[in-house]
Amino acid sequence: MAAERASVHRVLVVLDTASEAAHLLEAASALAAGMRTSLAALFVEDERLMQAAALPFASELGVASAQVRPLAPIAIERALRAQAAQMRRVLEAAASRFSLSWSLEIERGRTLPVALARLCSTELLVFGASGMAAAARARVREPSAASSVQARTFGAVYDGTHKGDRALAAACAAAAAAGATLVAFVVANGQRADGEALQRYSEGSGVAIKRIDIPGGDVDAIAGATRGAGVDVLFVPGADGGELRVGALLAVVSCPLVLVP
Amino acid sequence: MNQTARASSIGKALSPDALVARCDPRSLGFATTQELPDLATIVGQQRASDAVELGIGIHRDGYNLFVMGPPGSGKHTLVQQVIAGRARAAATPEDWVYVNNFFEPHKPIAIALPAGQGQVLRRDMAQLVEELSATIPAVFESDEYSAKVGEIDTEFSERHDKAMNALAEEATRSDVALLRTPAGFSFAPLAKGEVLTPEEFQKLPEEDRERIEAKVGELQTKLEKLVREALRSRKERNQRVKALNREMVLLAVGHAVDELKVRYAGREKVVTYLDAVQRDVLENADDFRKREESGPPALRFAAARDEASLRRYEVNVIVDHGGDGGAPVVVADHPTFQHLVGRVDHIAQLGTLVTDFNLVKPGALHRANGGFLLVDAAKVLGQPFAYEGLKRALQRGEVRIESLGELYSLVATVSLEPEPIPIKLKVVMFGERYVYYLLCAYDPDFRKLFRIAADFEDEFDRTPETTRLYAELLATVARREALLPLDANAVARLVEHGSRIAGDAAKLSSHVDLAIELVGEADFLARKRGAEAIGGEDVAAAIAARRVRAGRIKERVAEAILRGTLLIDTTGATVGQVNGLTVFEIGGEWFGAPTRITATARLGEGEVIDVQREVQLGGAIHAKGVLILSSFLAARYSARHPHSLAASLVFEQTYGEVEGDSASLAELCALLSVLSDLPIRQTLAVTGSVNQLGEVQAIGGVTEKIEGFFDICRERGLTGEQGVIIPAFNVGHLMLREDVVEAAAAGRFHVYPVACVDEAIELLTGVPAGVLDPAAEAPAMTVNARVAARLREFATLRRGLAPPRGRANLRRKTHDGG
Repeated sequence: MAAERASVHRVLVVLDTASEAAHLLEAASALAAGMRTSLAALFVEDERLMQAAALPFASELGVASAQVRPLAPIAIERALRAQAAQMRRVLEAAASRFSLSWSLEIERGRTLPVALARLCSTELLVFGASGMAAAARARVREPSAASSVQARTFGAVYDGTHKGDRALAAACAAAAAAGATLVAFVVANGQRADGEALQRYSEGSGVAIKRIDIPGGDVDAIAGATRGAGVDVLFVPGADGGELRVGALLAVVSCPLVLVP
Repeated sequence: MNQTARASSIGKALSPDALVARCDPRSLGFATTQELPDLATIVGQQRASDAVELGIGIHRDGYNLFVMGPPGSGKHTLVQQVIAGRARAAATPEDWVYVNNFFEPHKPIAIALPAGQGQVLRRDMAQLVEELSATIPAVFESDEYSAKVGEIDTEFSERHDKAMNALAEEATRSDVALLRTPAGFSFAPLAKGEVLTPEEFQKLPEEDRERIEAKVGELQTKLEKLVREALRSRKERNQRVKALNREMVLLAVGHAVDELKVRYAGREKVVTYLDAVQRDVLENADDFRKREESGPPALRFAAARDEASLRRYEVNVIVDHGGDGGAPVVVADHPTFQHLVGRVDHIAQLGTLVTDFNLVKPGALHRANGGFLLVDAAKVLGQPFAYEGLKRALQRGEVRIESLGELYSLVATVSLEPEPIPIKLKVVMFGERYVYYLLCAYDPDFRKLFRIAADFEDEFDRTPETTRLYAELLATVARREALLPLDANAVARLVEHGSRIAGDAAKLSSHVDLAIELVGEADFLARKRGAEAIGGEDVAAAIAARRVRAGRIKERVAEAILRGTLLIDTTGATVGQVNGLTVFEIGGEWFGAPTRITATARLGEGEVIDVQREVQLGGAIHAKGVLILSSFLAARYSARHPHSLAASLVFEQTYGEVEGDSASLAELCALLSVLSDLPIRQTLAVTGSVNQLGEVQAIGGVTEKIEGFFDICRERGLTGEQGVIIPAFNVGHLMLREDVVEAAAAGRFHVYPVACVDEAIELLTGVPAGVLDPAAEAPAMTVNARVAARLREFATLRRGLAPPRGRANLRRKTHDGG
């Protein structure tokens, strides 16, 4: 089987209220610059927040202050507008540094369905960790200065499928462009998980690939392995029923996730 | 001229030989100065030379040196010669460096190191930083470090994730969603996986609503606890990572620092400093990591700032004797306070002024420490606080760098307080005598700090030996300045000029700079005419040219006299009018000019009015001269009757202050003329002071005064009648110009020495003075007889005009009663 070539026309970075925008945009910008594509940002305002804020007992617990305060729809609207404006500034600054053409779109809905509905075959979809634990953890853990500027260790989930090849190809291209090392998390079994594929991609891109086997592809195991390997960006294949897999991964990994269709 | 010769010439015109003390070129014993060796000593300054040797030689506190004397007398040359010898033989003092004080950064630490080791330590520290800049990032980039940090992060993340996930699951089980808001978290009830709208919620039974609210409240309390726990975890995680960082960095730093500590094992202060460096590196290892970064401008700026922070490991070498041998000799050309004691510079950074120990700059005291500091007293005293700063350093035995503004509470900014550096040095201060005497009088500390004074002479004896040394000095200068050699004639002319500058034919001026300047100018003239050596004519031309250059005022005065604007007669004879002589000093050049002095006499009560004094244009010495001649008149002529004279003396057409008593002889002669009614020869000019006994005393500037009158007479035409009367004691000072001597030799101009006023008045009036007997009687028709008669006449007249005794008594009574 010939090595898959990554053909990417746009990097779409998905932001929501849980996203660490600076961290994510920096990583996505570096990725787009390395792959010589444009950068598009999609800010998804969680529609459930408006409903929750309208409830009579609605309140909010500040993540930095640990203080409980009342929540009202108008306050949520204002906070979302402020967050979108902040993301625009961060995006503009990041794109400017990497000389990228960029756009920002704001949509209301649920993050994952909205983002996946937009995914086309020539886009890389970059997510921030959005699970509750990850969102809180992002506050706890100081973002690495190095990873915020330029990812140094890339990861790719390889399942031996065609989409897995595309994910690996995209990861190789990005790693080569960024001068990063690449860790392949091999989740496939049997013949599909032989070392030849990795060897081909390594030779084709000139990037040394470190292999870590995760039989069964448990998302918790993948998340643990990415943390252990110090992965800054994780490439995952957009498999059938991908919504479930991506959603599960997003809930547990703490680094940006690149979904390769 | 000896005393016998002088006595024999009194009252008679001096022979041309007496007008100038020639230097015979043949007596010099060389053709050109090429034959002469370099002069190793200073001519004629033995006393000062001994004092300098003593001052430099004593190594005790307070034995600093004040060298005083006229400018150009070789003070600096002599001192530098003596010091150079001592400095070469002395041990090279230690280097001094300032390093950062990691505990109190505003108090940089001073460290002494063997000569040349300051730069070595600086390089060692630079190398250490370079090494750490490579090894520390490598430590942090290592797999080992990443793995350990990963372990810590995983431990904390897992602990937190587990709790969060459990909470999220509990919420889901209770049909409650945990939502992320822009600033935090919120809970919302679910129905079939979707958040309830407010309308749907309101439609629920009340007990369901209460249950949901209670559950949400319960979940919120748990979440709050979790978030607080997360905040605590962050602190704990940071401490764990910091401890890991220290552990990892210590491996890299400890080895490098230990190597340096072995190298500087004998230097306790350096070792202590290195320990402090190690502690600081461990605490601030991130500073080394951030240097590796590149990226957006904001981060690059931060990186630059971090790089600047590594300046704290640099070594500021303020005194470096690496390339020196022996003790330093520092000449403080511009001894301001800061140039003497050092300063702390500041640099502008983001609109504020900042500083650190690297900006501590040494002063002359630092550089001269262990050696010699040469300063000019006038310059030190002219600079605000410089003298005080110098004294303070010498008194304390240490130099403390202080900000003037802070020292005098002029500004309230916080600056550095570098550790004082102990000093041991010899200060040589140069200055004029009056500065020394003023400091002695007004500064009680001065004598304690400058115990040795070396006083340089203004002139020295002109002997064959000193003349020879003078020639050797000129030879040395010619060679040093790459000038043509001087032939014997040139040297002879310069020797004569040296006597002229000294104002004494038996002396030579110690202002050798003037002679050196003349040699330079004569060299120019000699080269212009293509000569291979500077000749006598070149020196004469250089002297003449110098005279012309400085002669503008003199020419204007002479012009005014010749055009009649200033009234000076050089022919005829007039009663009560005499040509006095004044001397001017402008810009270091001296010249003389005649001035008319007139006297009037009338009946009075014995007072002689000095008009100059009355209008406050006469100095104290001049007033004293007038009082003396007044006393002389009273004592000589009115011993037995009331001195009933009222006289006025005026320096005609003078518009500035007259000082000195050198005109008192002329003033007395004018008075005698008016009292005797005998006219004074205007062909003569007079200079000299008199005492109460009528003896004529020496005055200054005699050569210039004679030449001043000669120039006027020459312009009007020398008649053979003209000349100048001078004190006999000044004959030995004469160093007249060649043209004056030639005129005297030709009998067209004369210089008359006189020892007493009678000799002068005889020359001026052509009438014998006459010897007074104890009754103040003199032979008839003599000057003294006529003066005595006139004064007796005044006394008689006064007695006739006196009021009756009774009325006088009545008036006195009234006065007493009042």
